[in-house]
Amino acid sequence: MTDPELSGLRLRKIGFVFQSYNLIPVLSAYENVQFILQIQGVPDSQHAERIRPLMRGLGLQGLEHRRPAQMSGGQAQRVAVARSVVGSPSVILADEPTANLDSETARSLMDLMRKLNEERGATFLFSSHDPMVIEQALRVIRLKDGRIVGNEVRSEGSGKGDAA
Amino acid sequence: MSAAFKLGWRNLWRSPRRTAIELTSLAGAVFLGMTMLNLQAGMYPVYIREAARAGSGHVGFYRRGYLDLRQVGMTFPVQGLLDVLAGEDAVAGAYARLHLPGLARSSRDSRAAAMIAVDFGRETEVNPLLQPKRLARGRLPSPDDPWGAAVGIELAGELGLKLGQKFVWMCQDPKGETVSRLFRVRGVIKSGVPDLDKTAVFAHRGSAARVLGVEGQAHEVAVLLKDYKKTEEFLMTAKRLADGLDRVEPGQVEPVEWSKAMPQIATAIKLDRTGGWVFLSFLLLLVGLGTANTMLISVLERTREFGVIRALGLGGAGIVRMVLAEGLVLGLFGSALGAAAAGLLGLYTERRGIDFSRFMGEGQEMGGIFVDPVVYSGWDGPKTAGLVAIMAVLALCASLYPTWKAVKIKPAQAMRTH
Repeated sequence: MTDPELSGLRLRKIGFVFQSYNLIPVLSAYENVQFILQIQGVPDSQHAERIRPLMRGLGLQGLEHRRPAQMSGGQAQRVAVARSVVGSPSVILADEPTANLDSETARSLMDLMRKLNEERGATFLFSSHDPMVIEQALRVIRLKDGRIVGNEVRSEGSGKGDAA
Repeated sequence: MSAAFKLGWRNLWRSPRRTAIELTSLAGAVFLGMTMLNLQAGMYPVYIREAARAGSGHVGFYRRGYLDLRQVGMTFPVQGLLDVLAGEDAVAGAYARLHLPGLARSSRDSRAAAMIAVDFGRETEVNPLLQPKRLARGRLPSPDDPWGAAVGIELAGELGLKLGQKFVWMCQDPKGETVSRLFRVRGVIKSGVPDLDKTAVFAHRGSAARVLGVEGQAHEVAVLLKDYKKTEEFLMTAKRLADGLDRVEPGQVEPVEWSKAMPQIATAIKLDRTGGWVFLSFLLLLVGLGTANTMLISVLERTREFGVIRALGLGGAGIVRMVLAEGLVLGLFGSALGAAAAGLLGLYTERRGIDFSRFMGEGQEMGGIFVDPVVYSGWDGPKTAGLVAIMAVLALCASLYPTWKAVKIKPAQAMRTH
């Protein structure tokens, strides 16, 4: 695939949640989420109606104007989740999304992701060492030293998509 | 594009000190450049005006070939021309002169000199060389003193001439015969122009014409225009007037614009302007390198962030827009700051001027014209706009290499960096 094709694929089909959030530090929480819509070319008039409910649903109301440095780890990761789903991708790749969070925040985040999975049909693909994350997945593929050592389907997804 | 500008603007303030230094250098370059252009815009018209008043006018009328040959006999009848010029709307004044190379001899010594024979009554209104402040001693010859003269201060010194003393003026008449006449020193002129102070003798045109036997004639009619920028336009009218002169064959007298009649003035302005642009070019080059360095550091420091942005789906074109926007914002903001500062200084110097007398004394000669040490600035809108545009383009060009580096960032690799 060419570079523009790869960019297009990542922009429209894949959402990313990183272990260390990787929010753009000079943008506010709202603008970080909005950034995806801007590069997708979504008209400005539609931004608020797509972002605000999402942020409200993730418990980010009141934090819209905060910069990443002014947020806690849990808040920043929720913004990252909002950013990953706002463009309505088919799949969200989440790399150790709970690694930098305390257990309570991590559980709350997982609940949010499950909710998004059920409500928006977004499929979350995690890489994680966190038993709490693994426990919630509907399908678990275990890797050891770069090799697949297990493939466990726990139950049918109750939502529109799957979590693995 | 607005998102790219917003991001560009905010990225600039991640390192306020670095951005402030870079903005200072950009603003400083625009400030210096614009101040230079403003001073040139104020200085050159004054310089041209002074040169025109002391020299050929904005347009000078001469017998064809006179400017190359400078022969004494190349005079032409001027009264008719002066009369029609007086009726021209574009004309502020017209001044007839005779120029006679010759020898000034006193009881002590003799020196080669140049007589400039003028109508004092009219010339003193405009000619900077004949202003009271240029008179070191005495006064200009009065109308009832036909053989009075004002001589350059160095010439007077070399000839040992004091006020009221006599000297003999010798020159050739149009037939090649040597003619001479006794003049009396009424004034001593200190023009500030070494050549003039060393050679000039100012006398009544009527008297000099009588010595030569060319009454009613002159070598030059200097025409001052109300607006020197209309010189080209006036040349057409001037040619028509010259061709319509009585007692002169059409084509024998020609109008010549100041830049051709006084090429040393045009050259001096050109050299000064070129020197300014060379200085400005070096300044812009240095500022461009500084900007490129700043932008490159800024991009390299954000390698991981560019990786993330690329991973999120921003393509190469988007990265180009984003980094170029940073450069453009830097260039435009720096230019705006510099232009504002230069504008404020321009407002001041337009009214009060800048006094360079500490560096150039009472003034300085430039291309044979005495330049006043107090320089007033003007406004050169198109050139100033051009400078700001150049600065914006420079900042964009300085961003090209950093942009290329940013586009080349591979998301997976970049996100491993810390």
